[in-house]
Amino acid sequence: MRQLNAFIKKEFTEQLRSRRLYILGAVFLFFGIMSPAAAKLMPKIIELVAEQDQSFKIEAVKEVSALDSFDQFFKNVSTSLIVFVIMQAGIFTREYSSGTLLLSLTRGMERRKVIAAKAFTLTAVWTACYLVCFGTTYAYTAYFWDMSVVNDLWTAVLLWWIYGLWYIAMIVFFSTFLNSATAVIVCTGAIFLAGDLLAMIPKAERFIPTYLSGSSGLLRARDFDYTPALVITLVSIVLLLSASVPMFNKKQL
Amino acid sequence: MPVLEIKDLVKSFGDKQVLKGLSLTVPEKSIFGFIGQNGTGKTTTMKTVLGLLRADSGEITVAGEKVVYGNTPTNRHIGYLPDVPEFYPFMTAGEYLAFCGEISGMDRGEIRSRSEELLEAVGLAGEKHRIKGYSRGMRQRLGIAQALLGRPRLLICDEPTSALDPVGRKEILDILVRVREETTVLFSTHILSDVERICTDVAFLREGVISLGGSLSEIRRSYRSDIYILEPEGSEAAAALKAAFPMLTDTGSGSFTFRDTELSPFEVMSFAAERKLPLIKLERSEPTLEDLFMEVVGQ
Repeated sequence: MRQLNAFIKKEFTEQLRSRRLYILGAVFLFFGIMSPAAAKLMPKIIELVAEQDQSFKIEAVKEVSALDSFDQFFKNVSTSLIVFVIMQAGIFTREYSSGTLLLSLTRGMERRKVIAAKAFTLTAVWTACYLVCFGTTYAYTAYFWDMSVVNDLWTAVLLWWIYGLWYIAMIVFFSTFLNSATAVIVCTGAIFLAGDLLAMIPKAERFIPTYLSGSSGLLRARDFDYTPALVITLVSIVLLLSASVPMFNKKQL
Repeated sequence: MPVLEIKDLVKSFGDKQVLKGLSLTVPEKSIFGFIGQNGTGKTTTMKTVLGLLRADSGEITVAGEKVVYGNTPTNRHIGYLPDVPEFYPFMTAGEYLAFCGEISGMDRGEIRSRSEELLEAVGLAGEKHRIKGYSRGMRQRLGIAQALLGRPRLLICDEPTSALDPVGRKEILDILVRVREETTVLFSTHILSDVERICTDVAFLREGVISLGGSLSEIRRSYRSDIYILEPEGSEAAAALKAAFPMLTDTGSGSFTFRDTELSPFEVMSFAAERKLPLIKLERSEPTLEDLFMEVVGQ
């Protein structure tokens, strides 16, 4: 346990001192503020454009609600997740190229604990950033609008958080046999694209992890069934992390 | 009991067989120079001892325990200094040693006291800057400190001086001599003067096997063909000697050298005495490690 704690502490120190945590925090905070701000300001922006450009005709500007703010949140959080993946994809590969992991391993650091420490750190950073983003959006939204129109917010938020964990599991898995952050990003992106392509088959859509990214649908209606996608996502997270251990054990450093 | 024993180690990378049945024994409390040209397999041997590479065949034991690939428990006996040690640049030297101590499972009090002692020994005490600002020599000294943290029975250093300037080299060699009191040092190098300066035992690695090994003094005794320096007085004497003994090698500074395996010094002396050729000196010179190495590698 001491090995694991020491490595986790090292990972967090690195996140802080490399300023990755601050940058990610700022990005997630920015999108957290932007979601209600965009919802709040959009009608005024549309009116301004309409006033200046006579060819721009508006039938009626609908009244903005808390739902619009959270819609924006779920759009923005996908952009934040891309930034997260790009910034964290090198969490293993940086150690391979610099050779820093070698000394830890020769000191008896167990490889499975390296995986556990890095996966834990990524999960903690993702959770903290996601909470900053959602917490900011939630606070402003609750201040400006009536929240009673929003259905199943917490389930939607939880599903999106789990969707983020799926990307973390992919980063960890690909990092155990790839040597560059770019390759990890490309492979993670390829899986996302493959998921999107599969989702075009109507019968398959509900079984693909990317389906969870549409969890904002829960805010308006209760007839979405995310259970198959959730189960498959959770199973694939467990499988990816489990497969990472033997893959990493085989890796020659 | 030897601290490290390697028997018939074979390791290939693809079609290329780097180690072809290497056998080696490192006695306890020795400073063991592992000598070989670049690319002969020194680093491969060391990484296999550390369980970082899987051997094709052969057996390695450290302190009597067998080395296994992966997380080998024998690493608790070993401190390792790679050729270019890389540390977490965002840490200070003290933080890095504390991290190493924690993952090695050392007692917290011992980590503190041992870190202070080692940082003092390698001249990094009171160094509060982060490692990213360290010079190569400072990194190498920190590398030795981290390798010695757990009081290992065997300190493995992979070319510890090859990238350093003369001052840095001297500092590292001095540290290695000092640590011999508490540990065995195995260090690979191709800088023969470093080996001559501090090693008690050596092994020459050539074409995947140890072509010569043992205590340095014994090797010198048993393997030497002495080199003689002959300095005649005047060009006439020099020309006569060269004509009589074509195997003499001209040093270019008015003297010749020859090996006693090629020419007897008594023969030279009697030749000069018979012809009354004036000589300034005829002197036996100790063969250097470089001479031995050249002989071993056949050049």
